[in-house]
Amino acid sequence: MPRELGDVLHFFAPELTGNVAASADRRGEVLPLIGVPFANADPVCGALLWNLAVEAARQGARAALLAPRSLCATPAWPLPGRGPLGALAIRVDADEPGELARRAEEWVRAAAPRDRGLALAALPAACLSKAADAEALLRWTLLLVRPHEAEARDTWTALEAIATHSRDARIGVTVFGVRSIAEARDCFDRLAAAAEQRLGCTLVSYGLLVDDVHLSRSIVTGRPIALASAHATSARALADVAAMLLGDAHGAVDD
Amino acid sequence: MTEANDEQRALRRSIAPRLGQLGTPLELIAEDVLGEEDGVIDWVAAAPDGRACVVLVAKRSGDAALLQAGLVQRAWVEARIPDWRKLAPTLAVREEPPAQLVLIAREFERATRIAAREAAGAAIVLARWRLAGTSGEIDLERVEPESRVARCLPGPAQRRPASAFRTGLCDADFLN
Repeated sequence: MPRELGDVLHFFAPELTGNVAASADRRGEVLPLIGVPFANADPVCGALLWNLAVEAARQGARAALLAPRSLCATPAWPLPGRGPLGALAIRVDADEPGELARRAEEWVRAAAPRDRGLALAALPAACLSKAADAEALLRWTLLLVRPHEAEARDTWTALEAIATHSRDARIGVTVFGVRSIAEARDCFDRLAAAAEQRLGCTLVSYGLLVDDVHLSRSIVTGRPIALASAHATSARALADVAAMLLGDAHGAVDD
Repeated sequence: MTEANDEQRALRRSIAPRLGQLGTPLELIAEDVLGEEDGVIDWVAAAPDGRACVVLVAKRSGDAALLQAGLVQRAWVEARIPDWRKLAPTLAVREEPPAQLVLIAREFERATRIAAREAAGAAIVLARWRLAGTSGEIDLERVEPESRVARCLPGPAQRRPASAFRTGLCDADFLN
């Protein structure tokens, strides 16, 4: 019977969080696999995605970031292999979206029954024109949007492609590069209203991410924010977004 | 006793994925912890703002004993958070804001609901669980009215539609 602090220390081992909350199975249609369209080889987006994967791992998930060869060559992208807290960076040696989707789905389905997994698959914008080959990546997508890009062509190109190819897709939006919650909310509200009006689709908010000095340091040092600056606002924002994604992934596969 | 423990474990497994229905995603940190007076804490969890959450699950009605146990175990957890944070600096729970108590039961007696509402300075959420359909799945539903409790977790009526902006951060997070 645990009575002393030492008796409960094992509760804080990272894998236990996963065990405790593990209840998802993979019966459902929507896998914990999120396609993330990349309008360009943006190092900030790359760093945010990798930090998000590490944060998901910190929260007990089996997490991976997959990307095609062309994106992996850009700065700030993690080297392939197992990274901090077990987060996995997977380079897909092809640029075809179908191959990326196949590898991502394969990784997700390889999970143990009680694993709480999350796969983020970076999908180059150019691939969206061939999106039919990557249906698995379009069932659940996450757009990373800066406030001034909310009306930008790239964002709308991605939205239209997703909405066209997958009418029942869950389209998530995370706003980044903001200095206040009000700024992020305003950006999301404008985008959501326009998406509903023009495309007839409902966007799902996945909070905001902060592009600050800690993210810059993370890019330079390669050390994730969750480990280097655990109490920074950017770390809390990452934790918030990861928790929302894991929460929805968990529910999605369980329903 | 073993059978009762098995039932409690099964109930936990069913409820764990539904905790998000209470309005705030919780990161589960520890399960089945022996707390004060050898009482069992079903979960110690962390809200996105770092607030610790002490969750107790009852198979049947939530009565005064459950409320008492919850308050006692919350105090036990709060007293240990500073030590836990020293041992595990990356732990998601923080000493502030004060820990929240989440009680989940089949139903709550009126007296318990009043007592929860009147517990001074306490953030207490009451939620009832029920079987959904015949597949054995469980749904969670907050018990209203909550008065002070409602400020801690948004209830169903306050929940935003799917296309509304969501974040667990607050303006104070941007002041540093």
